[in-house]
Amino acid sequence: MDATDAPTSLRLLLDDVHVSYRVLSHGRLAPRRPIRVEAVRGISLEVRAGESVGVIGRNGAGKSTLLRAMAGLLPTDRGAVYASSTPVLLGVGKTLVPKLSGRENIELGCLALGIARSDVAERTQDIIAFSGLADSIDRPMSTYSSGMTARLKFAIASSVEHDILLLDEALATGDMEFKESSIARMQELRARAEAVILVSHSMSSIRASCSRVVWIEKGAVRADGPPEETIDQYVVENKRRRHKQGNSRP
Amino acid sequence: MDSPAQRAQASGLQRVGVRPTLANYLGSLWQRRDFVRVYARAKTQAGHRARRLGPLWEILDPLTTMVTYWVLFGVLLGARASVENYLGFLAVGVFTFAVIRRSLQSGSRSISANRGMLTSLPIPAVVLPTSAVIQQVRAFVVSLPVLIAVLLITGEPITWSWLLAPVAVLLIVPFAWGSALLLARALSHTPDIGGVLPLVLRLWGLASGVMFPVTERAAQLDLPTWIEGILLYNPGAVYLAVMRDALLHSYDSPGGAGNWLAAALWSVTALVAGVVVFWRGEGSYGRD
Repeated sequence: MDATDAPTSLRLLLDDVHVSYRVLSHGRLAPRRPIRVEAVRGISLEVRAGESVGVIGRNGAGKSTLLRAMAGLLPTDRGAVYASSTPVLLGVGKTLVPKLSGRENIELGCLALGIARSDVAERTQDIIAFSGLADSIDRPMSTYSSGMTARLKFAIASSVEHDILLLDEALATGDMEFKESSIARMQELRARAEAVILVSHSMSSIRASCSRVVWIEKGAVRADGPPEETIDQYVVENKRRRHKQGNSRP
Repeated sequence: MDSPAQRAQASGLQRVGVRPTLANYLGSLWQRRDFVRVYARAKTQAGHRARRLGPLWEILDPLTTMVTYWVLFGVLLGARASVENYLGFLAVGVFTFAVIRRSLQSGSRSISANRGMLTSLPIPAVVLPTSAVIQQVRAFVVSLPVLIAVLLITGEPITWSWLLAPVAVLLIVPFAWGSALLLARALSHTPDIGGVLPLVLRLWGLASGVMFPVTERAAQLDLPTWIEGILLYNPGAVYLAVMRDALLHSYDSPGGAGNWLAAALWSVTALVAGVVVFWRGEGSYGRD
């Protein structure tokens, strides 16, 4: 032990992060050429222990891409992401197989999340109980309504705790009753995490749970500060933009 | 003031999203072995549940291929006359090549078909082609009793050399895995390859002698020696030769024992190349 591993509060550091996608050109003639689309253009950010950071911005501003770069799921073209432990995006992605039953999918989802095989049986009981799908758990998932599927996915994904938790909005879906229990579960996860990053379009949920808000526009940080201040700027800007569009209409 | 990188280091932060060393990468695959296995099983079961005859298709698939080839090549084109036990020859060819062809086919597509999984979960991409290959090897093992039944019905004796068949399979699996990894990276970058792959794989089967002894035909055509060399020592021909030599008493493959050496060389080459090339692409699979 020496002085360098003294506890510090820095948990996540983004240093001039650039992320781009490769898409094929839409020309009518083949061959289509690959084009780079820059989604994140030089974002630097520092997140400390205990912080809950809300990320806001218009559709296509680069919020989800940023989250995926934080989790190491998308490579950075330039810059780097540093973290005290790998940030994890809450979700089960497209792991589940619709033809299989809910129960079989729970096993699959748990293993995909890295839960040990010996723990899966025990977790399965908790997940079924939390999802409230006990009656239909042995039916193929393809027979579930979209709400039921969302419940199952959330129940699986939220059964694992993470030190640095990344949340993409609209995860807590389902009917009113499930919404309440999922909000409670989400709060539990947040409380146990050391740092949380939340991407959302809902200003009320950002206000309710974030200690700091980052506004992303065109892949760059437009503002970074206390929730009320940043959200106000964002709302004013959106109103101004809508007004402008309204005036320019013939 | 320190640079951000220095500050990150001073706070004990690690860089996220860097490609692990090859050893750590394979270690992460080993850690996910249960997921690999269960995902392979899940995909198989999902396939079964989509069809009324379910798991029977594992047997019906090679059987229908065999019957088709028997009619087309055996009867109509007269290949029956070139081999003593044509049905046995064909059965070993079809069953063996099926596991290679299907591994490459579904392994190569596994990345492009599951991009959504790779962009949301911290799973090493190698898990997907590996799982696809395991699924096909499992299907092959399940269909083996049918192959053995065909051999016994057509009068092949059970000999000591049958013990070499599992050895041949142990050489085929790493070849199939390695080549699937190579193709998976290629397809992830250039999806167009997926358009020609099924045709290429079928032609490869034909040229490797799944349906009739190609090298004997080629000898009559007076082809340049390099073409004969390809026909004789391409991996498809080599793996079919060692399987046939192990299982068929009535047939001796051209090339003899040298085929075992070639089979081992192909396995090692494909395995090493596949693993290294695929590992070097880790990190790019979610994006391209």
